Amino acid sequence: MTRFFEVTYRDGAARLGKLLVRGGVETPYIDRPGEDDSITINGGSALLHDEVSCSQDSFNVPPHIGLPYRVGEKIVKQFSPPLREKIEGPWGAVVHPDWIVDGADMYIMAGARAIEGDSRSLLDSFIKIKASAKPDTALYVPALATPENVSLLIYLGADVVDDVLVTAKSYQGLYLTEDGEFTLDDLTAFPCSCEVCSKHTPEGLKAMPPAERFAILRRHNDLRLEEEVRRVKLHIRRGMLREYVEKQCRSRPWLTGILRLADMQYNYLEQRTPTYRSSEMLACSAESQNRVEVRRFADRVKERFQSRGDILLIIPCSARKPYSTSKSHMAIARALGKYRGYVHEVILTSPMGVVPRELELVYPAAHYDVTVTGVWDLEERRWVSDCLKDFLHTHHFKRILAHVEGPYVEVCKQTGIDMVFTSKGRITSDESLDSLVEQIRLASGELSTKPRGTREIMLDMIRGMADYQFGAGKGELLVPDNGMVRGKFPRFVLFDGSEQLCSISPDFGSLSMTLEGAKRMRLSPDYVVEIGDFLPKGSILAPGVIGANLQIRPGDDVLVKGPKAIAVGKAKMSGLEMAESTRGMAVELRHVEKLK
Amino acid sequence: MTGLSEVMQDIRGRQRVKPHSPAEVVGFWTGEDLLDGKPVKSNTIIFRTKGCYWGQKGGCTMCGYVYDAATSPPTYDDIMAQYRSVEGRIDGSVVKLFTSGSFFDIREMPEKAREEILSGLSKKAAKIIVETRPEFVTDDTMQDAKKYVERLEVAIGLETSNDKIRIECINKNFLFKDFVRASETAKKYGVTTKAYLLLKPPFLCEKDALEDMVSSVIDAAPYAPTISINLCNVQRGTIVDELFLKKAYRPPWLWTIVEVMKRVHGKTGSVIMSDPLAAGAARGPHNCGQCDYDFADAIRKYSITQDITAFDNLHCDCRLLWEKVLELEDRTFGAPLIY
Repeated sequence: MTRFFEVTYRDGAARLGKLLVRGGVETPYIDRPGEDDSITINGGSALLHDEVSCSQDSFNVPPHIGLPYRVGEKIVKQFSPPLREKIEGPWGAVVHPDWIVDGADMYIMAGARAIEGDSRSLLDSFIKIKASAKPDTALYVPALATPENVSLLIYLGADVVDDVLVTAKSYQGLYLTEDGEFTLDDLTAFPCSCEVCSKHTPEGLKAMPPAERFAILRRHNDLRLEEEVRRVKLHIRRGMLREYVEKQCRSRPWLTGILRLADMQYNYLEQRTPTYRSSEMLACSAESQNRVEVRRFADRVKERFQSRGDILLIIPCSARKPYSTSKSHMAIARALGKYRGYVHEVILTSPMGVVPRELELVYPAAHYDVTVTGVWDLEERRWVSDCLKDFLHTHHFKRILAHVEGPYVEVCKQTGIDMVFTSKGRITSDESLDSLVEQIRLASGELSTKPRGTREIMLDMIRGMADYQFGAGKGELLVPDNGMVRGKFPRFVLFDGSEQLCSISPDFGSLSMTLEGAKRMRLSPDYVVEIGDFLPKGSILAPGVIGANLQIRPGDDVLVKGPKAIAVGKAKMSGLEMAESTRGMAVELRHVEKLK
Repeated sequence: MTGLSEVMQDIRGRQRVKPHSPAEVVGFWTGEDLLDGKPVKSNTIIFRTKGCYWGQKGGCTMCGYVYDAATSPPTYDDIMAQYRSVEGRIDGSVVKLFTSGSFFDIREMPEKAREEILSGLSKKAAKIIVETRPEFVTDDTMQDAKKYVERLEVAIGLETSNDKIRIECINKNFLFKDFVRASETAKKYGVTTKAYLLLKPPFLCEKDALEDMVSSVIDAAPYAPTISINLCNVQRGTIVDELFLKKAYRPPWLWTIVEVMKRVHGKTGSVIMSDPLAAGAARGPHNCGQCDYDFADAIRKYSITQDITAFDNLHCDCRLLWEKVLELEDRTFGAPLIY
């Protein structure tokens, strides 16, 4: 817990926040230790100093011994982790990632400079420090930020960086950009148009006395760092930092390594990544396929989603989302006509894998855009094919119809599971569509399949979304057999008589529950936030939270329970953060009911 | 004894050490030294002994000399054979006797061998310098040695006058007061003291190392007419080596030793010298790679002339970078800023 930092906005592990000194300092922040306005007071080496500063307006770093992450355990054990003693104001604790340090306001990653270039060690350092620190404390990664790497540092969860390495590199005569560092000899012209570069030339700079030259380089390098941090903030606000780092990590192999390893680690990013949001999701790189949103969707389709029927229809994705609104899907729907009720549909897509029709509105199925070239690489084929195989194994359809073309055919065949291919060339050709209808007619006859009506199909969509969102079986509890769906696709609203239970929120790709809807799903203990003895209004702040389920992610709809009220709303932080934080909005409330 | 000894023992246990014959010296060379203010020829003999007793218990965090120890403890005959093998080449006015341990520790150097070597050398050289830890500078050893040598100097690895740094960074296992006692004991018998200091032990940033050296020179000077500053280099099989391999240690900048020498010049009555061993190498003291040899030359020149103008012509753009390192290295919170 800390009184000196507050997270205001999250995008995965990255966050915007405020250091609560000097009237509020926005993070991610670039500290400038060489200057008077530095927000840290460094007590220096514990071997030489023992005086502890107690400023109220700066983060006090007591005398310490800093050891870089990779220094062997035996050496690290020679020194003890810092303790909060004698420190009155904000405490910045220098920590080796293997140390458990309690109660600091800011955690400083000791000797991070020594693991520049070592993706694994840097990622481990973030994960370990974050595991021991309370989620609402600030993380400072010192002497490592450059225009090139700072986006990745922030992506992994750095709240504070500094200009130390940029300054040192300036005095090595290096010219820094987001995509590399250069000596003046490397440059014929400056690729930048900052105040420095528009006034000088590489030749001109080379002719200057070193002190002047380095100072000018430093100004440019500093501007680049600042600009990059501003850019990162923009992308955090848009909820699209991932897209940016997928791009920016290419400037160095070790930065790409960080992203890949973080994806492999999964839990670290998953715990922090929102389940639903309104931003677009762009899948432009091989790494897109491994991002949390994509894997989580596939996992939930596998573990939570249930579909029961005789005939499964596999169709390709469309560029337009939701798929139903695309030309190709509309053409298929028109051709199927009344036969649509006999089939359950899944859409094959890279990178999402398998999207059941019921989940086509769910984030990110309705929010992604992917590079389409008509050529699928081996990874994509295997991923989508494995997702399909899983789906076919967990569901027991009696007949599988694959109405696909091009690379999708290969993907279906790769599952090794029997299916009928119904398309003759283009899937929307009259011939193909006729063949599809014919196959459905045949199958439904043979299997004596009962068709679903339009209302039932809509109810299944809400059941499917509820299962996906809250866990297998919740859809059955939520949706009554006589439930009524009102509203126009995709803005469906579910009623039981006159009682509204939930509505689909297409912007966020989720269900928004009413209190009644949430109650019917018997969410406890999942997706439940327990609060103290007060009547909440508008929102729940973290200190009001007594307990929160650990599977809650930002974006989730949650049921709030307290002695004075129950309520339903949208989680603004993860369950872990709610339970452990002392600041920030935990839940944005939608409906509150006072208890007598 | 600190936990650092255990770490050192662990590291030492993992080294593959070349077998060394007990009858061969570790090294012998000829160089230059100052005698009564004048550069003279000097010889250095490094005897192979069973090794520093402290080193065998783990020892100092930067010391790799332990690995020069003989595979089996040399006998009196072995030591004498070592001496005989170089005796004919001794022609300097100053002779330095090193054992990579303590010359006065009889476990390394049998009393009889010590006496014979000292008496033999006293006929050849004007001054004899022997290296030892302070605990072996006693009334007995001094009295005994003086029987054979007219001008004797004991060289003690004080490393720093800061006890905390000596114990917690270097694991030296003695205190400044032990050094003072040794120096005063030696003085009683007309034996002078030379202090070895260590610039930039592990776990210190460049600026702290610089300032520690300046105050150490001032503190040691009253007890040591000669002060030799060793620029920490990275020897294999040490904690310093392990830190170096993990990018957690960088040897000192040559700018730093020059700065130390400039700051203490004229402030003490002692001769201040330094042999910039391995200068310019990644594992030795270095600047930017462009100017290292000029710096090493200037440092050597100052050491044998005590003429501060030796540093007058050292210019390099990397001075500004070094100044930034002094200013900002503590802000890495535990790593070098520039390697």
